[in-house]
Amino acid sequence: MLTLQHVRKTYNYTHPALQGVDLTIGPGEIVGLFGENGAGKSTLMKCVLGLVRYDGTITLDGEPVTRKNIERFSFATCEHSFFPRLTPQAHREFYAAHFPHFRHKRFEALMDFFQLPPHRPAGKMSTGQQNQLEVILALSQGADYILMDEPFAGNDIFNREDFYKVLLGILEPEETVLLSTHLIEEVERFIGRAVLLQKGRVVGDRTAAALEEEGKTLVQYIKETYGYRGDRVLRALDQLSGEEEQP
Amino acid sequence: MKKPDLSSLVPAGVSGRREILWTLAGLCLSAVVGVLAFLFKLWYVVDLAQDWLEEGAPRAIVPPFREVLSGTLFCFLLVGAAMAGLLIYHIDLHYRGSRSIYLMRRLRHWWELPLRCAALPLAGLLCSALAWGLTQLVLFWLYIALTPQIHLGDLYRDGFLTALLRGGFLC
Repeated sequence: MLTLQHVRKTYNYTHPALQGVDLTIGPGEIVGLFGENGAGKSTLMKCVLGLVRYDGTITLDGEPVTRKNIERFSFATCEHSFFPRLTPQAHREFYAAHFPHFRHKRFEALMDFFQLPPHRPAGKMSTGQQNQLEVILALSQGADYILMDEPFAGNDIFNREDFYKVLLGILEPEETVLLSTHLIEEVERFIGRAVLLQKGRVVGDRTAAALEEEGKTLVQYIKETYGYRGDRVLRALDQLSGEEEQP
Repeated sequence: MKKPDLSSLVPAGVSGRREILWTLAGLCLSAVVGVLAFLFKLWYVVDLAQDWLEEGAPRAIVPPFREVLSGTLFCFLLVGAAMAGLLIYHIDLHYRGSRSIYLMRRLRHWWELPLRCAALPLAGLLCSALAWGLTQLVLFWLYIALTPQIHLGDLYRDGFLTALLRGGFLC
């Protein structure tokens, strides 16, 4: 169980990125983390991994996240965390040497699925391929908690949709995924729970089952929570067309 | 003979062998430049001393070793500075092209990152210090061997230990 209590993070003493986040994610959950740019999604993941300093408490099964249990987390980020000079094959060796539960079969299957060149340095791959390698490594590390921060920014839709299908097929029951993305419609059928962040606070938290009971889609729920004004496009167009008619 | 595996001592994807070869090349060049500069200075002072004798001076002694050595081993200082640069380069690699620093900080052993960044630069620095000391010994031997006995002062050893301890290029 991953538990965040009153997690706060402020950048440069002035810009609050997280303002008291409380969140609990249990084993086996697939959680979508949504929010506009700057809502605190990436910062939240970095706090969990201890990549940035924060105030508050983050525990994994009651223990603070330290070097002892850090390997229970993997991380795929749109910033990429692979080594640009290493090939996928060399990454496999590196991961296998440092993460004792590395899943070789899953690595091979995903490499085959994405048809990535095993002997080309990661830095010389296309952005889409780099994203795929990042995700493959995160999924193959053998972690219990897989954190993915906008992992498919720049990938084509066919690859993304197929990947989600494959992902659902390969995840084991105890594997937990925390996925941050803007591609709401694409992950709607994939996630079991949606957590909404706004200005560093959790403003919404619903399971897919609860949304189904309420008869809402994820997009509707998100729009409601963020107070999306559906008429703003029409009003803007009206204003602009009125402006053009004026002499 | 099996080549030693250096991959765990350098940032992932970096050729440790190549960095070692460059460092050794730098040290060899420093030694060669140091020896040549020293020989040139020694030749000059010995020649000067011989001129004085020929002009009728009762005694002509070359300056002590420390003075002849001064400045000739400057290149070793450059190699040492390059090791500091190498350390910065190794750290910077984890932020270039990706944020592999995230992965390094997720590893179980905290020393993995500092070890990979600092091992070769520190070893290079140590080798530079050793090579600098050895070169000084060689130069001191050359000083004694190439200077005619008549031009060596009673205290010709003066400054050798000082030079060794304080650094020939700093004297």
